[in-house]
Amino acid sequence: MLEYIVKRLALVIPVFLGVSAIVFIIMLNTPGDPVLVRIGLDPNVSPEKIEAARRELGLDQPIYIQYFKFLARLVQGDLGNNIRTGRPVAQDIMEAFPRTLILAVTSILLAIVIGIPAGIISAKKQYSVFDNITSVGSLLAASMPNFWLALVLILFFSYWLKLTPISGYGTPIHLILPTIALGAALAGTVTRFTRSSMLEVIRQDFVRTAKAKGLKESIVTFKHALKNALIPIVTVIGLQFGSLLAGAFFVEAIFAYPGVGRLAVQAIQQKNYTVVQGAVLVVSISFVLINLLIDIIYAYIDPRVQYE
Amino acid sequence: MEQLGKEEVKETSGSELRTVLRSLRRSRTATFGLIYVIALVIVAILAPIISPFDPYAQDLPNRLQPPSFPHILGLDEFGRDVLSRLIHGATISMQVGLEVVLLSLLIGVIVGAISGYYGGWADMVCMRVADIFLAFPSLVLAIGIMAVIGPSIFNVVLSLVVVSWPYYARVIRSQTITLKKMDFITAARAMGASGRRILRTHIIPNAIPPVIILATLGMGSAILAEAGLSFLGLGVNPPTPSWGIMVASGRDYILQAPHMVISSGLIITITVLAFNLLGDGLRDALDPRLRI
Repeated sequence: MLEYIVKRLALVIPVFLGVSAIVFIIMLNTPGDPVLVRIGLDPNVSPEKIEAARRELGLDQPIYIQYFKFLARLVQGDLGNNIRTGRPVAQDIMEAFPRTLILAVTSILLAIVIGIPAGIISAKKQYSVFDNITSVGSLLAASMPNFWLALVLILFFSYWLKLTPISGYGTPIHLILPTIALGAALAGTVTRFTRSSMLEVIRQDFVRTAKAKGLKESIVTFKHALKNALIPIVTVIGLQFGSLLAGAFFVEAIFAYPGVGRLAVQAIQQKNYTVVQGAVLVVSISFVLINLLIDIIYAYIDPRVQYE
Repeated sequence: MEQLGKEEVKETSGSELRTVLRSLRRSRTATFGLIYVIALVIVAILAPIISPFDPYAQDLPNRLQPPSFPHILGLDEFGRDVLSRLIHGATISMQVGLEVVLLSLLIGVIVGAISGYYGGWADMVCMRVADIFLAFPSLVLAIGIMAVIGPSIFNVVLSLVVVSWPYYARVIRSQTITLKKMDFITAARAMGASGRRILRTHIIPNAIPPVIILATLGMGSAILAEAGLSFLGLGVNPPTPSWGIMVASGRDYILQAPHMVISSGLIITITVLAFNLLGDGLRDALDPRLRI
């Protein structure tokens, strides 16, 4: 067990290096000369001054040295400074990230509360009217652009029915529409996986045995079938966490919800590249860590999981 | 001998296609997906002929006009015909979708086949690189790339290929590993065929069918991603009609002219749904064990 966890952790290191290298390479190509950003657009600036600024920013060194320096700063939690406000980017992100996590968690909860029961009923009544409607409905939810769903929700619930605030942050009411907009696609996916996973499990011998023993239907469904069907469902939620974080870029921007997604979208519009870089890195690394966590949790709950 | 083998393959693949089509027809949802996709391809190709108005022609006095005759879906913020812009937007969506899928497939086939067939360090390197790209939430990486390289159709395709090729490479690799252990590959090798020839004539053609499912679903995701990037102002440049841009500009007039947001978003949803239904249908037809 311990060996598995150590090996799984070791696997994260090259991924972390690769992810940071890719982000570093992308950001090397940012339009605009960072030297000019530093010293301003003064046409009379002397070549010596430009050279000094280049040296100060470390741009006179080979690219791999620049990458290692970038990496060294990264490990210390230094993501550079926000070129607009001068504040450390890490501080901006630390403020915004917990809010994104709250939204992600409420969306996952919504997806579980809707998806798992709908998937179970669909599987138990395969090919019924309920199953057909749920199947198309769940695929429809997964096909909808979340930014469009967000706008339609605002139009109906905020403008026409005046039930929810149009945008903002602070009270649980502010979370309702963003949660639906972000969680709908995941709810569709969870429904589909619960259905297929349950269909597979309820045909297996141990479920038939449980039924043959005369156990109550609900006990067979929840204690025997669902427990075994849950593993692929948890995996899919872990994998979909990435889409959820990407979706947050859109949903947060639309609802003016001050998370990492909105921070990044605003930074893109202002060409504030250090913030974009920091947001992409932090979001990607948290996705890697979430999947690491899920893998380790598995090793505990499912003895069949073994590291090859 | 070889001739005979080839004919056999052709025959089975012909009847396989018929089986697949029959199985697709049996599912109402997959049939809908197939018909919608065919119709969309025709609309995308014939856009300049069938669109009722010029998608760029402005009629400023009547801007934001709600749906009415002859502008069935109304006018946008510059008084341009929404239906005509949606029709021309289909061309952009299909173009981006096809280019992303075909290029990702090309890279995926090359990387996956080499990785799976030769194994060893080539496999190690290819798969570790793929793992790194898969470690990113794909749309987040695409947004990061687009923020730096700037909006254009070419850049959208580039950034989406960068994030989607590893999925194809992984599937092709696992297919190749299964196939290379089969008797007909051993036979080909015994007859002296080179590794490249085995890959080209035996492995790659046989590894493709399962990838068709992935490619169909990939069309839907690429169209969705293009709309998303364009919505953020990172995709196609205005005034080119893109569905994502149409949702974004409709957002500013959502109260006065909700027809703009509703029509453009609805067309994205139905299109992505159609590709997903078709992909599901193909999965059921090609591999009944994977039925979802």
